Amino acid sequence: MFEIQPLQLIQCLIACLSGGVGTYLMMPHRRQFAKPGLVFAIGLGLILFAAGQLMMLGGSPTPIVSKVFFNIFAIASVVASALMITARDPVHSALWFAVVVLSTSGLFLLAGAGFLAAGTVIVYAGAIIVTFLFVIMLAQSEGKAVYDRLARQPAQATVTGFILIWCLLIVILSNPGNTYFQSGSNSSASLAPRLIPAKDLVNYKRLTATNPTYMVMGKTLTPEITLPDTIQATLPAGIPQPHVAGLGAAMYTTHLISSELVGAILFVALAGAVVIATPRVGGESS
Amino acid sequence: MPNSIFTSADLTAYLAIGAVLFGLGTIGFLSRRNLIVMFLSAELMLQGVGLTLVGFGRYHGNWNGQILMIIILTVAACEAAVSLALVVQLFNRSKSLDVTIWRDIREAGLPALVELDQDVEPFLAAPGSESYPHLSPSGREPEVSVVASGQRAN
Repeated sequence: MFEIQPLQLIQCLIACLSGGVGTYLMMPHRRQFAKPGLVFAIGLGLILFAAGQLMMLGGSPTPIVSKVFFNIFAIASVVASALMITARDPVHSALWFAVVVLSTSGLFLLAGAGFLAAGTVIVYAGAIIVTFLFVIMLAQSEGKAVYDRLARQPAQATVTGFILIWCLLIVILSNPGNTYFQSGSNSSASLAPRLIPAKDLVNYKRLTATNPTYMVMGKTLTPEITLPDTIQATLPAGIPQPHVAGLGAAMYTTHLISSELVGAILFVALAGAVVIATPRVGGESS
Repeated sequence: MPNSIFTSADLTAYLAIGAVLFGLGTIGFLSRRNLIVMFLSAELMLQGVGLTLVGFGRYHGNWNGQILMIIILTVAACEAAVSLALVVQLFNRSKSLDVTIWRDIREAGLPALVELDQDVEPFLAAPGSESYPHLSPSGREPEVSVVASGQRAN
């Protein structure tokens, strides 16, 4: 089960220790031994070191351009998230979260999820702007408030979080399919056998072939990217499959019920937000 | 999807970054006291989960990971709407974004976390003077009748 290399184990430990100490030093809390700015700079240096260790720990895409961009986006997302959770000013926190979202979108793009990258930027940037406006309207403290300059139990929280990160990294790096040290492995060759056990989840073969549930389940458990035949027939042969068409086809055939449920959730959230935020006329709360 | 090969090493890298984002979001949610920063930390955890989903979807060569990420995106938007409405209500009641104020509604018998005020980091003003423009008043001050303003308050 645990096939982790000793070198990876040591690197993982170093990354988690330096990252944890760095995060603790960056948290807003009074340190007696130095000025806050110096402590923050030391913590940021440790976080950068930990991010570099993390980059050496995991693999990265093999083409050199992909490798460079992957490392840039990954380090940016990790460092910006550390800065986000330690920013004194909530406005800065929201801006660092925007940086995290943008670099995560870059990672989505490198994973071939172009539509999702655009959607993440649009939706999250919109949500960020809304949050930003709320911060400006409500807080107006500019880091002066006491609760922004005093973290609650920073040492305990950091230890807890980095133990979680360490456990997750150990499990991820020691998974049976981890072929980090075997260069040139092609995972797409063994695609179908990996997905066969999913069919055991639902014993759908007992249903008749004309049953709608059977047809939906059969499409769900098919381990291939396919467009519906009606769309596929219109495409000239030999060109690669259009990205958004495949995503839309999967969304509105296989995951149709999920899409409807998501729409229902949006409507319920809209009604709930209106009910919660509307001031009650004549009540005790304004 | 691009035709380049997505090996399990790439999957490992995506999962590692997703795990780190998730853990940092956990730390932020546990240790920060500002309601808005706590909300942003929860969103950061969702970003980490999204990276994991997209990596798995790309690795297995189907669209399910991206579909799940779209669903997470929608649920995150709903969460933003409801939680910001709640933040507005809480701010209206206590005139503060501090979450420690609401520790009185914890479960009975649990000890209260006490923050010591001498641990507060000293406030360092940003260097340089704040350069807000000074506007000279123009015109004369409008007269507001007491009756009208009283009606507006109601």
